[in-house]
Amino acid sequence: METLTLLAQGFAVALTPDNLIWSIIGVTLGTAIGVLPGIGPATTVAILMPLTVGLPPVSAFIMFAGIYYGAQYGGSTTSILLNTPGEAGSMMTAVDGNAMARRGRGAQALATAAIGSFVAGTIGTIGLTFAAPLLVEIALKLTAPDYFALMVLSLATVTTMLSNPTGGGSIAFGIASLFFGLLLGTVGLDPQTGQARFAFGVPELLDGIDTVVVAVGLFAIGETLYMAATDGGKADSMHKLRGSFWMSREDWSRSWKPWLRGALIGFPIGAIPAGGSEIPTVLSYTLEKKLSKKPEEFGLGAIEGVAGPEAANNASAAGALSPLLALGLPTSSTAAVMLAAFQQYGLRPGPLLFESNSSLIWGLIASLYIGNVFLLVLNLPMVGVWVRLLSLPKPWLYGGILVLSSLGVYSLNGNAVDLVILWIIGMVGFVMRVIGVPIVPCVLGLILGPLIEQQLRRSLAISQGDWTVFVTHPVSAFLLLVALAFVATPIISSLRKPKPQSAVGMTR
Amino acid sequence: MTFTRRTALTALAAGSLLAVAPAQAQTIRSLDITVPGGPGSGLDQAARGIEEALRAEGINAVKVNNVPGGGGMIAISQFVTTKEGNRNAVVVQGAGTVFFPLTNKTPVTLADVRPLARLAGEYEVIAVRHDSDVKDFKDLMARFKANPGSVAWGGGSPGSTENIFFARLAKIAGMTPKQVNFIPHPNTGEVVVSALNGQATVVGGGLQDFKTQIEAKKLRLLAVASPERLPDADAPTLRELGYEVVFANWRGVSVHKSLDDKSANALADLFAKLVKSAHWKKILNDRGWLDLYLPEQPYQAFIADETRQAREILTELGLATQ
Repeated sequence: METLTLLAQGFAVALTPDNLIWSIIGVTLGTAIGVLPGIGPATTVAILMPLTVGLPPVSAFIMFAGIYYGAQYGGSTTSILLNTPGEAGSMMTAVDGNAMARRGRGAQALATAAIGSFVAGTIGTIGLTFAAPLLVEIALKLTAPDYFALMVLSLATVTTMLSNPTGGGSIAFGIASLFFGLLLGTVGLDPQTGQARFAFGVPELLDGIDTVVVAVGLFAIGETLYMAATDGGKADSMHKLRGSFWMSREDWSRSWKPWLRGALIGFPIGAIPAGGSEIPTVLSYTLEKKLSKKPEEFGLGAIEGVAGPEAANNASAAGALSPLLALGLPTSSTAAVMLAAFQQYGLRPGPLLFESNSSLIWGLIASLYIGNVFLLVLNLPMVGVWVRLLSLPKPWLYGGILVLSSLGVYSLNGNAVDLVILWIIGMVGFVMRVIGVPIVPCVLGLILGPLIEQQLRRSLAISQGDWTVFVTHPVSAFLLLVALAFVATPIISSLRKPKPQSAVGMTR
Repeated sequence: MTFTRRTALTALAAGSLLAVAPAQAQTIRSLDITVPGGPGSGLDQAARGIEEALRAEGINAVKVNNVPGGGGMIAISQFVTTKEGNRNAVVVQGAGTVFFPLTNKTPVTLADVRPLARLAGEYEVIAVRHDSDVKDFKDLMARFKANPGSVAWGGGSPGSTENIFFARLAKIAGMTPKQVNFIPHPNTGEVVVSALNGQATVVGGGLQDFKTQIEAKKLRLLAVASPERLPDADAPTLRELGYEVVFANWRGVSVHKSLDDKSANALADLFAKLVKSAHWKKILNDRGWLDLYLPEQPYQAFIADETRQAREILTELGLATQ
């Protein structure tokens, strides 16, 4: 086991007092920026980079890795407590996490997110240690048709989320929401030709509408306005904290399998270039809902709906480091900044760096294990503190959410146009909430639409217009079949069933 | 307040000794860099490099301000409106900043700022997967001429560097730019992936983007678009192969148009000194950038030339706005 020997040497590097302190600084900073929506790990590392010139490379990277992992932990906090997802990957966490918080189970939601992040982060790091080169080798075999099929599959799973968990509205509302999201996704430069679409001469719209802006607008702004409009009159009401802060036996038994499944979905998809964190969290959420004995609880505060996606999100973060370390390929903005940081020291990540500078790479990997432990130790006691936010009187809490959301969205790109979009989308979200249109399909349409379009057109450009590529590639054909099954099964089963009450599928 | 007794005295002294003092009075002690791109982008790395080199020279008050979006034009427009008369402000730009306004109507272009110096860059290179059937550059062009659609050319964003670069190669080969089956990608990581999994027949980009894979024998260089052979790349130049194309992805800085010559020259001197500093040379070496320094006049002429050539190609591609 050569890997274990090298990893042991890595721990020897990472466990020196100096490097431990850099790791603590990194994870603390990372958690802090993760909690604030808007400022991401990429920006933070970029700002710190010129300041770390005097530091030994391994210490700088241990700190950067801490920031990266810490930001993944922090992201769930605002999603759960304030319904304000700071990044697309923590959007699915907001759905059931915030519902739990409203029912007085915020502490349990935070705890399952923190422990799930630890479990999945550690599994992901183990994957990074032992399987990264192999996995990246396999991931590189995937071509545009396979990506297209994976994204179509993700879109097909959205069908399970079309109905509104809080009741009211019809499937048609869900489909309308999805298509509104797909429409928003077409705004900006056409990925194939670079021509502007629906930009109306506004340069800020050329890069499209940021997913975070829409997610925060629909979740935080829309929901908060709705809450304020419906029970704003009761001046001193607050979210009740009920019972123990600790997870019950039932919470544990309902959490551990989603953690493991989330990690197993998140790591490989995070490792494929252009996999991202959104698709694994969506797939994990759908899977948990399908497997759950109580699918009706989803959307109303099912703990599996927090445990699974949060684990998938963290495991995908570990996965995303694989192409960077194994091949030197930056496939996310954080990875691009990390690559720049390596270059600052005249290093190029990749197979050769494992040989020429193994103590740096293995020290970095070892620090990921240590950082994960620090994050758990740092975050679990914080649960009790964070959850007290909910004891604020509602008018203050709602005011705070609106200010924090606006601040976070502004700090995303530093332009005021995003704020205008945020508030327009927020108003739309308010109306959607009033008439009972589910919001998740809209955000998923916005995320998946542009990805599907780009991969479809890339596939067809390479095949010179031959549509059969989608069925002649085995991976693509398989994924498309699964997607078809997803859409067709409910329709077929509803046709077969004798109808006790007519039009039951339409009114739900 | 910066008007202290010392500056008052300096001002007095400068008043009486105008002939020798101006350089002193205009010493740059801080720099405000606007970057048309997010953290980690090529232009951001250039700005952070400038910041690092200036710190090594004892100029610590360097602020880098990332303004992504709109093909870099949001940054330019923000720079034009907020930095008027600011003698310590520069904006970074690159090839993409010149090309973008040609394909999209934008309220501002690079013509709204005063290009001051070209600093660094990388020559474009062409690579294929190591075990590709394409033997060499001549073979590539032969395949392209025989069946243009069968060659998938992978590069960055549409209408930008590689798109124009490939189109120029096609023209020299006697084909039209539209016959290039260009496969755009959102970042260089994905370009490399497309080369490695073979979905792009050939890819273009900076040498640094491909170097790790070339050393690992996963990619193979076909040609470089530099005037002479590159010391760390084992491939012929396009010139040698009969294709008169020199093409670089460069980075430079501009100042606000409202600055008088004295203030602009002070900044120009700063960058002229910067490019000679040992620390800057180390940064170039570490990151695999080439010293492509050009002072103000030749830089502006260079931009005009790049714009003219790009407009011609983009018009043929049907991408240019009129």
